[in-house]
Amino acid sequence: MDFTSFFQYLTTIIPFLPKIYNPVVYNASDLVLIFFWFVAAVISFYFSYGNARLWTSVSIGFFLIFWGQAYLLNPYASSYFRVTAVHTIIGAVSILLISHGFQEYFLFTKTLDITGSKRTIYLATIGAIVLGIIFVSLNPKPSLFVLRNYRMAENTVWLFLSIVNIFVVLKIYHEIKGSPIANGILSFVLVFFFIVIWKGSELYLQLYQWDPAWQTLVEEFDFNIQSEGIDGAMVKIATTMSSAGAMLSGLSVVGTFAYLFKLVR
Amino acid sequence: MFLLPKGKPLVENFPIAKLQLPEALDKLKNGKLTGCAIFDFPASDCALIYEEGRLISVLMRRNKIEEKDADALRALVDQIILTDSGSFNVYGFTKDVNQAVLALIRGVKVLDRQELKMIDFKNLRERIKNERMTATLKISTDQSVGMILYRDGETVGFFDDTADAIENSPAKVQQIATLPGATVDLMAIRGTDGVNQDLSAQVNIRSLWASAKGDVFAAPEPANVFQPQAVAAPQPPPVAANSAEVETAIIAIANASLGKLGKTLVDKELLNAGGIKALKDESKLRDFLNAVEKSSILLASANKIKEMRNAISLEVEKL
Repeated sequence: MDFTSFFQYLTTIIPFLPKIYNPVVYNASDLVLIFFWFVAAVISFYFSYGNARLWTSVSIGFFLIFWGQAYLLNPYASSYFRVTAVHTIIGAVSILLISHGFQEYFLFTKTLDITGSKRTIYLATIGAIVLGIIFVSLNPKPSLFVLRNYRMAENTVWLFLSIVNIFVVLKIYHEIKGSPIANGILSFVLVFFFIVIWKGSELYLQLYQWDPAWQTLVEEFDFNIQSEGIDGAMVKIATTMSSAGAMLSGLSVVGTFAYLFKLVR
Repeated sequence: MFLLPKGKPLVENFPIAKLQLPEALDKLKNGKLTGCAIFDFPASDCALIYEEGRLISVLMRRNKIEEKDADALRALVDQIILTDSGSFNVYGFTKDVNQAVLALIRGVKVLDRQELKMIDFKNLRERIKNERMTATLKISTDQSVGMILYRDGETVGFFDDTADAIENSPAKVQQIATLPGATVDLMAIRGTDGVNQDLSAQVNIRSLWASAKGDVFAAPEPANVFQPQAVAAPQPPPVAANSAEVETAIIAIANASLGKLGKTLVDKELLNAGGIKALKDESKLRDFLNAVEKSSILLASANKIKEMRNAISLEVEKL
């Protein structure tokens, strides 16, 4: 889907926007995925309203995922490297927040105490993002190579925390089994499973330099490097798993929150 | 301090100062406990043995003097009122192990501190088996104690003073038996010694507790001890029965609304409130309901919580 003329029109009515020179083309699947994350963000925020603070962590986390995904639609996304690096850090912060929420939930099932304030979560999130901005600002402007390293680090954080979250959610389910909300919480296992597939296969492609970002670098800098095995079946499988995992994780998050919403209404 | 085998821990190191004895004993009764409750005071100990919620034996030991059953219960009430330190522990056992522990507490001493090297251990084990003894064989040295638990002559478990639970392996107890100076005690019960009684129906703990609480320095009120022939149909005072029933009903409501955490949540908030009777106070009831509601929002829907709150309020009105 070609959005070039739409953005060019935007630059005419909003004069301070930089001109668009390159074509802006999106996959329909990317748009659907971002729409899913948007719906998930809206429902999770609505869900956290008036609820315990651990849902605040989870909802801000899911909102930041949407934010990070939506940022990639921005036609200037690849023009401002520092901003792109900050968004990668925001991606890592989002899964940290979600994990924090589920760990607080597990703690609640053990102690039946709900402590802490929502304000602390908001301030800690802002603090983490500000620290990320300072970190990126104090260092040299990231190159495309550095940005790729950022993404690898982000995927690693996502992969391992999602695996941990699967175990935490299973433990929570074991503790609250029999309560009306138990099956809704269990659905998060599916969400994190799809995230593991999504981020894990992406990390796998990056580790063996089979990812599109590396291929772009090879072309752009005219490297005479051939990533061995790039035409193999594993690359095709991992690429498909990454796309399917991303789509299914967005879809499962929407489904899970809708289900939870029904359970607690 | 008693060394009793540790089973499944149900309550551990609960401060006695915060304990409401009648409520705590009601919970053990209503929860159909098979196991033991141990009160560990600085200078005395008390063990209560339950079988399916029936209080079948009580042993109080202070200053090397032992009191049993009704006398021990009265002494326990006094001790709790007079002492503000100590801990309360509850362990669940299988029925077989429970009988062996009962033998340890109230059994006949078949062997009393016999030197292990002076007896034929193999013969002793055969005797236990042939006579189908329900017993505990205790092997002691100055540093260690090990136990072998028997039910109808069959070994049902092993325990030693370093173990956290009853074990299936005799290794540690065998090790203690090889230490120099090891002695053997064998305590056994026969048939259904004491198993059919329910001391909680014979001794009115609530009345003892209330009178002791009224004036800790006054002589304790005579306990309402029922004669054996009256045991068949004891009629506890209506208020006492009512509190326990209301508490059970509240737990059942919470369980139905919130799942298994409902019971834990109600238990915890009742402890914080100061027991079921404290809910007669309107402000305490409101605090209790708010506390339960606060945690419930992570477990159930708003409508369900509202229904639960109303149902609990209705139950509390019966107090």
